[in-house]
Amino acid sequence: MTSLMTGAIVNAIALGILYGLLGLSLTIVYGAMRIANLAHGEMVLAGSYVAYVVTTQLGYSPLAAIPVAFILLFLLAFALFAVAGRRLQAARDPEMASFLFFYGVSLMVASGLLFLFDADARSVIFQFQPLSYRVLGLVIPKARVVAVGVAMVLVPALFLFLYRTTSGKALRAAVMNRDALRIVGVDVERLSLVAFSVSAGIAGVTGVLLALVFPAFTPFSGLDYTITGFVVIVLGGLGSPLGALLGGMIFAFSEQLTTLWIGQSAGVLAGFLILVLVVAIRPAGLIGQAEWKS
Amino acid sequence: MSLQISNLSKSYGRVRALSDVSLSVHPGEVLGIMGVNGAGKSTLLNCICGFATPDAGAIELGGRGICGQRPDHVSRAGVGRTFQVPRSFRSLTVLENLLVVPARGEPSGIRLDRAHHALEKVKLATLANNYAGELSGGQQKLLELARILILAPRVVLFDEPLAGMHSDLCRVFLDEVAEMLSRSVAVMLVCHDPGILYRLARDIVVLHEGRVLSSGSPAAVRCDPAVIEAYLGVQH
Repeated sequence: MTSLMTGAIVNAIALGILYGLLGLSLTIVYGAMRIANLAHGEMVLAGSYVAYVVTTQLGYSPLAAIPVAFILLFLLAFALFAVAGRRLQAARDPEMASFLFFYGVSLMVASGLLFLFDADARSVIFQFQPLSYRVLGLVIPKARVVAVGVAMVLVPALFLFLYRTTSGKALRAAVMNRDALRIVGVDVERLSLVAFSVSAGIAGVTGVLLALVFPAFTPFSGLDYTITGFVVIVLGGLGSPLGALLGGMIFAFSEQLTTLWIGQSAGVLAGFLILVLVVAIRPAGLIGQAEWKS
Repeated sequence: MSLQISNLSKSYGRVRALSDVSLSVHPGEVLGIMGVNGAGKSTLLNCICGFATPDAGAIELGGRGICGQRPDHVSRAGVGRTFQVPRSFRSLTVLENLLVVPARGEPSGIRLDRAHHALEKVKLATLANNYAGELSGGQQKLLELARILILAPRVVLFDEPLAGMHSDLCRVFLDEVAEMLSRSVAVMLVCHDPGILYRLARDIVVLHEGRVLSSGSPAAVRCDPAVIEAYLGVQH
């Protein structure tokens, strides 16, 4: 039981960081731009398919897929936002307009992936050397170690960007008050374009990393990632980077521990139950309220 | 640099918020804007800053049209503004609130020095590393003033800057306004309190139901029967 518990905790930490990364990229967009990107999961999924092409079809290391996924998703998102972003933000109800628009985009991306790769489940086939590590009696696949390692570099890098650079601070300021940012001369539209593109790039990288952790994905797996992303950011507090990381950890721990104690079908349910409780007690999320107050 | 507004009109649906408003503010002068709630003061500022697009009329800054431009463009053109309810970035520190202002090619060291200097001027230097959300309402207004100092605009629009502010903080604010005027900055001051405007403004424009009810020197405006009637409801 002890080794099972240790295994569940190790899994939870690994998934928590990846879920946190998923939420982090989503919260940048939602918080700063009030855009509900329902296609975020499909962007993550597109990253997984990039990993599939680079590794399984071309035979390169999954690490090579990381810059490819980032650049590809960054450019696609840049083009998408350049065409539709300003109109969405200028809409009478930007949240509803973006909700509907990105729902359409998510269906379009899923259909595109279905067209390109069929409905069969795909997975990243690449054998790291060594295949796994043995730690405290646990066998941990190297692919998982690599995924977590990359995420552990990316998350602090993102935090450094958000909390230490002028652009990052401006992005966080946009979460708090877009008008006040405009009046000091910040081109919020341009900031939004960069934020959306970077967010999509990170989503693509997250997709590569998730493909190393989860055994298989299909063109319809995007919705699961979108739901997980929104659960994570609502749990932690909309627009709060720290909240996204905390939300990712809580969701992963509840999922893994409930799976261990009760069963797999109860795993996801636990995460949603926690979400409902948190929203009922602290509607702004766990960190959201605290961050505003501070 | 002067700000010239000609025949400005703006409606929200069937509500006429501004109707044919003309006024101007010149370097080194304070133009006071008075009016009861709903008179159109905030709509006027929003039209100047680009938060609202006028239906008709012209806004010129130093002879250049800025009507309908985006707020960041208006800011870069040289117009600064504060808000009636201060809009600070609550979870950034006081210093960071100033550092989000675009550098425009200024080296980061100089920018940091200017930010510290601006905080010293508004007596917030000791709170530089506190979160803006921890400041009192009056201090948040001074933080907005510090942002204006960093921007160094040629025209400043103050929206009820002294409302609810402690007298010590008011003094800090008024000192800075006096310094701005000595640097030939044009100031538009929206204020409920006629006493403050009579003291500071060279000219006053009284708005009522979106129209210019009266304009001229403080002495002329305070004796205008239309103003007295609008403010007191009876003509004395």
